[in-house]
Amino acid sequence: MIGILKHDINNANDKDFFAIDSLNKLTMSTTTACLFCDVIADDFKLPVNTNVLKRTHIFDFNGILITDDLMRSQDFLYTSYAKKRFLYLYHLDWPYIKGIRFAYLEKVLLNDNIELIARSESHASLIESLFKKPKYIMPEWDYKVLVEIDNNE
Amino acid sequence: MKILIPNIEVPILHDVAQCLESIKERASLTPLLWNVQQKPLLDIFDEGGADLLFLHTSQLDTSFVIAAQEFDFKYILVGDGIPKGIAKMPEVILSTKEFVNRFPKGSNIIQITPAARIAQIFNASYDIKKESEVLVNTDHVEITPKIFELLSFLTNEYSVKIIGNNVVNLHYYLGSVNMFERANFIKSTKALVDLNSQECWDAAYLKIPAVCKDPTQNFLTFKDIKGLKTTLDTLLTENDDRQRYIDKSYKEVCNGNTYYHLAHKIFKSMNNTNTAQHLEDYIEELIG
Repeated sequence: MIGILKHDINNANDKDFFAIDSLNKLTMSTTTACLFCDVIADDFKLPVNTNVLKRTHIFDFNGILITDDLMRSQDFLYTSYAKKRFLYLYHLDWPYIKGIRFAYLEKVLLNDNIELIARSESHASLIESLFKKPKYIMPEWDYKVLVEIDNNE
Repeated sequence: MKILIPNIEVPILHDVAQCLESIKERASLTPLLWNVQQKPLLDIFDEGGADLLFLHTSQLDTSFVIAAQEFDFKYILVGDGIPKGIAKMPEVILSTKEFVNRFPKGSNIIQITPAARIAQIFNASYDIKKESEVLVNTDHVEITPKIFELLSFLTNEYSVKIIGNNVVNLHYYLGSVNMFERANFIKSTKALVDLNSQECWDAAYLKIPAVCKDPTQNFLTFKDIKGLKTTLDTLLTENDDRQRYIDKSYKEVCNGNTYYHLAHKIFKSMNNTNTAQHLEDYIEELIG
């Protein structure tokens, strides 16, 4: 089972749109999935046709956790029941985080218990040179890759 | 011997404090960082004072005048000048080259020059997670369009990691680091590009070749991107040249270019032979 962790879902982020679109497609596949999220904007453009749970439920979750939120990925450090944890570096946005410290990046991006997912080959090569080799390449939350992750892990 | 050092954003104060901290047991020193926001100068004397104070020019105010009249103390001045007719002269003045002429003739002035911060880096070790071909630290570096162009060039040509307090909007920027992380980043790179004229000394101590943007005696420098590429390519591929440069730079550091040497000079010039001797012994142990 796959659980996607988000802080909030809104129309401002393309990655939210693709993530929900993918989750909706998964409801028609053999892979079960859910969304951990605190806020979904009222005017969000897509219907959310999957199970939605409060973000704090990730701490009881025993499936595969994936987040595309670098700051939220810190929650992974305390998810002891999760089968696997993946950080999807959708946007390479760490230089834009105010006051970013290497210690924070190291804690999640170089953590042996957190695997990385890249969005493209070029992203994967950059991520590998700076941190470690991404285990999967998933273009724009492609649901087929999510199914593959669910089957492999 | 109780030594009070103001905890303000003046690097030399922290560099000297770290050196004194390393020898505090053997030299029976009590170096303390003094939070000037919470404790005014006069409170220091009300609480028993100190054997030696470090003061910055900005602290030579009315409180200092009162303290100079009422208490007997020794101090070392760090800064860019001294008020005329000052109530009490410092034992030693620490200042940079451009301000040395502002002090009265005959003052005991020691010029501050960049040096290796061995107290921060001596325990550095190679860390595969911090490995790079070229490392750049942005501390004290203004990211001008020219610097950005330089960094962009480096990231296109080499496996680069950029660290430091000044943010660079490039994916190779990995955020700010503490002194231990910085030391390990330096130890884990093949070459360092120095943009602040300070890192080269630390790199030299850690036996990592450095190329400097600004003219820095004893180090390789570059005028333009083409020159930088030629120098970096040589350092990264020509092992004999690289080793010769590393050995020469290391020798230069050991030849009086660490903050331990500077601290030794300060205490020697004050005729505090005990502390000066302990600092000298400590340097000998570190650089062999």
